[in-house]
Amino acid sequence: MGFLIVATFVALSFNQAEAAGSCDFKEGIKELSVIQALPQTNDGLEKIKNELSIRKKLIGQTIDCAINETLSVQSGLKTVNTNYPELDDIKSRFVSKLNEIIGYYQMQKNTVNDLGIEGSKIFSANLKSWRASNFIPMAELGENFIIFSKNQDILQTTQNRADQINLTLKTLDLADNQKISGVLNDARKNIRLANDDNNQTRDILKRMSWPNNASDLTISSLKYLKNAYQNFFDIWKETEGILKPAATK
Amino acid sequence: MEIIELLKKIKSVEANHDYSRKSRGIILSHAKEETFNSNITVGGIIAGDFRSGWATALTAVFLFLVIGGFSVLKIFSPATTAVVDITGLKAEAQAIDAQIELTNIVYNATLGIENKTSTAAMSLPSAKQTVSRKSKDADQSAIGNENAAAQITIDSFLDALSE
Repeated sequence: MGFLIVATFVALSFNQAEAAGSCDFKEGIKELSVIQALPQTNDGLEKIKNELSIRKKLIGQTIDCAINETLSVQSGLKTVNTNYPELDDIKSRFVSKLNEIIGYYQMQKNTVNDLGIEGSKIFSANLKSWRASNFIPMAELGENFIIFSKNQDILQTTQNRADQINLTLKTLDLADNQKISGVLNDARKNIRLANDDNNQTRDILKRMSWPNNASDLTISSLKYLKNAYQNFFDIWKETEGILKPAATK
Repeated sequence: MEIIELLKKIKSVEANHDYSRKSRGIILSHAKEETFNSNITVGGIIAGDFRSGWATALTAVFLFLVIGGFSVLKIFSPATTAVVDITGLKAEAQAIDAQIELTNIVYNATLGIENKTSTAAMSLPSAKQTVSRKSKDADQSAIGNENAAAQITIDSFLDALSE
């Protein structure tokens, strides 16, 4: 379980660190401001040519950076081992969507050479707008998916625990104990509520809805599972109280 | 024919409450038995074992037949440890805590990414994005030009290129 969490964290860190830190635009900004500050000579054609050349280079650099960013999100998703066929399907769709995004970037890069200065400005604004409604949602949904897939193992472990405890209580003839059975029912209720939240998150990921409340649902689901474990501890305390006096007889 | 009938009846026999109580006692008093035996000599144990060996074996076979070999297996199966395996329970509960922390970290980091992608935050308003925008405004007023340059993202650079 610990390993899974570390693996998730590594996958996500890889995602974000790569996405956020692989491109440095400081030089580009400087270059652009230097050329813009130059005095116009004669008809100013030389200055326009130079500025256009720099703009095209910087747009190309930005697109390359955006492609790397997308690839890192995709590789983070690919590292997720899904033990459930349904999740494999969602994962494949995410990977495929990110391929489409990369394809779009490459297609746009091919049109940069034909741009003029005003065209390059419009191009940059449009690319930013496109990212906001295409890349950003996919990047966030991808992160939600990585966390979600790991939570399935936690849910399964909690359910197994509840089943084991139920079986043991029956074996030890404690299943009819009012207090214990009440706490066990609370645990079952918590697991059911955790499953409800989990199912809602699954629907969000299946539909690729964005913006969404997947993070809130995930945390809520985990909190219900934590409450279920509190119930398990309470059952343990209660059974200990019953069994210890019996053992000393 | 009578033997078959008898075996069928035996199969339907269930462990009684007294047996369950004794079983619970066996589980928890195991360590105490060892304490009792610590005063007995090795020779005594061997002699005692020989004396009681047949009786123990016969009792075990009888018990196994009476309860169909079912409850005994259950009592000593891994499932039994679920109630008493407090270490395992704690480890699993801690794993959930860690996962909650991890989700919180990712959630906050996502807000951070949105801060840096102003169009994303503005084109699709939501509670989450309102927070992003506020943080962004606060950030922009607080940082100097040098720091701003250090935090250039793809989207803010595209912003610069669109002007």
